[in-house]
Amino acid sequence: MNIDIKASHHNFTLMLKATLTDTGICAIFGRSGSGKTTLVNLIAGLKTPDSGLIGSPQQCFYDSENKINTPVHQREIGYVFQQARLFPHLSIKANLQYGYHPKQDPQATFWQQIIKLLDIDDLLDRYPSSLSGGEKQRVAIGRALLRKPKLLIMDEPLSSLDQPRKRELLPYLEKLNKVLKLPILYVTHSLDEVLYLADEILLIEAGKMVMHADVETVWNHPTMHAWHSTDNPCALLHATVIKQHAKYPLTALDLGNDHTLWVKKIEPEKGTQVRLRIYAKDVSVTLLKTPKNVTSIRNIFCATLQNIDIKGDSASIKLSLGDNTIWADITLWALDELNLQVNQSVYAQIKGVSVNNKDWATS
Amino acid sequence: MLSEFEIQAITLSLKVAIYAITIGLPFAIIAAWLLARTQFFFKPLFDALIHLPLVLPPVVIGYLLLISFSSQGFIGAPLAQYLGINISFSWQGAALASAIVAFPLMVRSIRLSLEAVDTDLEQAASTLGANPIKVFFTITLPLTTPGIISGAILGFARSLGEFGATITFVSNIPDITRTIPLAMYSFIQTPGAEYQALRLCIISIAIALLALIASYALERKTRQRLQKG
Repeated sequence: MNIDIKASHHNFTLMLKATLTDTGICAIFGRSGSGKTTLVNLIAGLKTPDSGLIGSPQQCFYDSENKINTPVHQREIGYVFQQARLFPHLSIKANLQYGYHPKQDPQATFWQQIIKLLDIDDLLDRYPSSLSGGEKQRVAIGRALLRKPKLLIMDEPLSSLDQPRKRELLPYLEKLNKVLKLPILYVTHSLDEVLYLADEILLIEAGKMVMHADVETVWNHPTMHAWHSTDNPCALLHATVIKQHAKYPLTALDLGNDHTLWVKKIEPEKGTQVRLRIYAKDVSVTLLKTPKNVTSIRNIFCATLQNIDIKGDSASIKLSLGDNTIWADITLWALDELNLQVNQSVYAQIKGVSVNNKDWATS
Repeated sequence: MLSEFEIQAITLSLKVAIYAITIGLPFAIIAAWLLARTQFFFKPLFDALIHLPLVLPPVVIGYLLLISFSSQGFIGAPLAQYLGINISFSWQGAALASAIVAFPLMVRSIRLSLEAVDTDLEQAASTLGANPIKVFFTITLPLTTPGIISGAILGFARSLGEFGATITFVSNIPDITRTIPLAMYSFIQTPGAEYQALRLCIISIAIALLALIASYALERKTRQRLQKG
């Protein structure tokens, strides 16, 4: 999806040029009022830009020069709104059938697949008013999918839900992209959802694109630091599963540059890519490498000190581990006594790692 | 129990009212949609014209109908000449008069209901591949049903009560244009017919009450079903 548009509305101007993923999940991320929803509404055709171009090489949706503006209903873009927007006068089944073409699905295999995927079989005969928020949103997702879109837009689909419902829905969303091979534009201001789902992030601020890259790059970029929680900063890395420990419930991950990280046992098979978070509070620094038979910490890496940032009563130390960057929080006392300098070689001891899994989606 | 004369008047009244609503409703929906959803230069004038029958004396409407639909009128003459239709002094004329008088009531009620339809739902329908016509018939119109029902009932009640425009336009001809109010008027004019007038009065109240209760029940049922989803 290529986008190069300018759109003004009242005092707000959105100007953006980007090429979004055709296969994965792109998170459109930013503060409230930064223009996230405006952007996806322009892509879906619910709003018209002042000028520019929207489309893929196969299909042009909007082109101000050639006076092309495909109406919404012909764009084949599914849209899951913040509120489910189910049709109150129709049963759940009729809602799901609204954009569905039974002729294109003679064995109803796609219908069955979606119903099963979203677990909405028991709701079919009911009406929207009797459904819970999570159920409504699942039906809304199913309705958008059954129209067989070529792209799915989700505008903060979880924001109207409470915590348990979010946790209930996230796995469904994760499955969507993988099982149906459907590209998704996911609007959110929740970091947890981004980290859980996204392959790439488009960071948007006051109608302008700040950054557009894969999640790890954007996360570790200085512009994202405003979003990191201040009392608990963390680094985001990706790694490949190498093997399970022969004796203990541990899994070895390859961080690249011959760095092997041991984490609590995870299920994915060898070769699977996982995303992991290392919190600054879980990293300590030593000047001498401690042999593994005198420390309880299993993950010790040689690192280069990149930067020292003194924040109040502690120091945040940026360390590079080959191509990866992690942070360590140490006291000012330790900083002085170890006499740490930029570009110095140190040993980073990593005590805890969270690997991409369900417990992420908690806030 | 009911005299033949009363049955005649009741059937005629019901027939006139039902036809008036059936003719008027599609136009009322179109007018309500134009008022609720579009902007155009003459909209204030259009709005005023639609509401005119509500504020004009019914006799004025009857008179205007009479001069335009009589066999010499500018509408009535070509109708009679090319189609052989003459609606003045017929029950069809009574239905037209009722439809015009009831029109603003129907438009107002439907317009309110249309304005309350959540356009977000229409947007959602269009992202599901529905063209604007499908959106109107599958989303907008069904969600407007409470307003259409109450508009139709209001219009029906107004048609049953129509007197001034009817007597001016189609006169008071027994079994042809003599609806309940006109029959009552005749009895009141006749010395010694107070009892018959009273009977018609009670019949009118009964019909009106039934219609209002039915409309209330129907509207409540639809509204319940349309609870925000």
